Amino acid sequence: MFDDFFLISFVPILTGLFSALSCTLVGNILVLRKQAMLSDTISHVVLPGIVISFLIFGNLGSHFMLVGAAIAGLTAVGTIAVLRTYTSMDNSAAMATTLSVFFAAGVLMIELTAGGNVHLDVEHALYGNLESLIWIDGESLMSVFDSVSRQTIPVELTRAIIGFVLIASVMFVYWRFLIVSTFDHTFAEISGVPVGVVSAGVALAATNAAVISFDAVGSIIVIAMFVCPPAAARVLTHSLRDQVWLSLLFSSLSAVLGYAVAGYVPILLGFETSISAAGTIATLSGVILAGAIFYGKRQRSYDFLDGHQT
Amino acid sequence: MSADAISATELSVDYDGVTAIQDVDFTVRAEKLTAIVGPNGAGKSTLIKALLGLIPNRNGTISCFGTSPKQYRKNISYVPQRAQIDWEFPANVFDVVAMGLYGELGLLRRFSSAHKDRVQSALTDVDMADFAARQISQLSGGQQQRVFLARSIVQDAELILLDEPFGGIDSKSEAVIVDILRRQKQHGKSIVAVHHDLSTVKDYFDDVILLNKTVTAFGPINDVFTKSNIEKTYGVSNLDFLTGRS
Repeated sequence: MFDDFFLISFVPILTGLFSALSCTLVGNILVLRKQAMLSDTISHVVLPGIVISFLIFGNLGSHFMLVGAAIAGLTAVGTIAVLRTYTSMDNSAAMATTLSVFFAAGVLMIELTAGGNVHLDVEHALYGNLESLIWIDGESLMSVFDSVSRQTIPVELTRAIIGFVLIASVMFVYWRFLIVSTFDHTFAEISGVPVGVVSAGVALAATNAAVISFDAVGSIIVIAMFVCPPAAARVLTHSLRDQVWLSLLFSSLSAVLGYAVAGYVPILLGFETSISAAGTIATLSGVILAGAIFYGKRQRSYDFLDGHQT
Repeated sequence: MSADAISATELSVDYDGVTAIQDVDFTVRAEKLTAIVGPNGAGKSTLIKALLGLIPNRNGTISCFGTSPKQYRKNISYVPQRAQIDWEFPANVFDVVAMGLYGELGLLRRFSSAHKDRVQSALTDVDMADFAARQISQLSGGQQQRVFLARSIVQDAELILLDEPFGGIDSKSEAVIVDILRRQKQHGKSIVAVHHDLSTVKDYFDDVILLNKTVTAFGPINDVFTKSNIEKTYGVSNLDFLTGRS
């Protein structure tokens, strides 16, 4: 059963992993900023962006597609700002409105182009398509070190790794500004922190994470990777550093275990086919969150009995 | 030093499209504790924001030690209302005070042991040295305010602006905070605070600005904080209980 691991599973596992890690890194900041909904909005809004780029350039692998998605993401952030300024909507309502209208437009566009030679279907956009990332020349661990075999590694994995490195390094460099502007916006502005740039950067990072994850886990499930691991970690610790590390651990667990469970457990149980990897990953992240809440609550009630809780 | 810390001339400021401050002139003396006092909706917080250069003036000018608030910002420290802060944020007391150094450190300069000492000494100044590792969610209101004062001390700014530093704080903590502010004044700092409680203005502050969209009066407490001026600012009479004793 594990003979064709490098052919079938190697790339999907890593793609899922780096997608999940990217989303979780940005998610830590979004949860602290009480903007978790932004990840949901952006991940849905990139759909019309991707479709439009696809229609123009006719190629899903095109890097123009990423640019299109990024433009759509930033347009959405602008739309949210406009709705909040000129209507009485609060932040969540503005995000939800933007999400559904943009996403609906994306679905319509896909349907309208379905007659053509478009291999972008709604189901993949919604639920991702991890299982399709087959590495034709992936035979063994040695293939990773073979430059010829490496050429057939699906572009989705390369994209996920570059996206993750980009997000992680930008967050590392801007960490102080991120934290101070999230905790105390006015104070940050007076201290000389470019708060507008930081906010736009957070939105851009969320867009980046959503776009690279789009192929892997789809637009609906991606929010689980943004929110569940940081929220679970937040319940268990009061230290921001611990929260980030713990969330990355939960995220990795969901991604790797989720893929393994989806691919192998049903077959071990005697079923004919495996189940959706993306769905299993998201479900697992939810299970971890539930576990964290349960464990966290129990800890807190013990503290209370001991009189430590104030 | 006899210079003015702040001077405003013919200042008008809009907030959310509504005139919040109309054509005011005042000065704030350097190295004094000055209160901005007025009824709800008088434009006190708007004035602080204008002094910080966060919202533009519709008309008139503000100068902080001779320059515009935006240019002077590096020398201004701001203490927000406690209610504006998410105290569940995962940070401890030390982390929050260290944020006072971020403007100076920028993004990549290392947080050295000298910086650490500055944070510790600021915490000692506000008598919170033992709480450095305490989660901010587990502090009382007065302690939270003292942490913000330590963050302000660590910035070593010339001008300190506080938005309701005594809001929701018990009287014992108030006394501690007034003490800290007085010591900062002795170190040459100029301090301006929005203040709500008319009964303590005389005890806590040197100067006062009486504000209700326009400035009714400003200057040393003893000259300005009179029954008639207060009544004019609040638009009511029978405030004898506030100024009668003293």
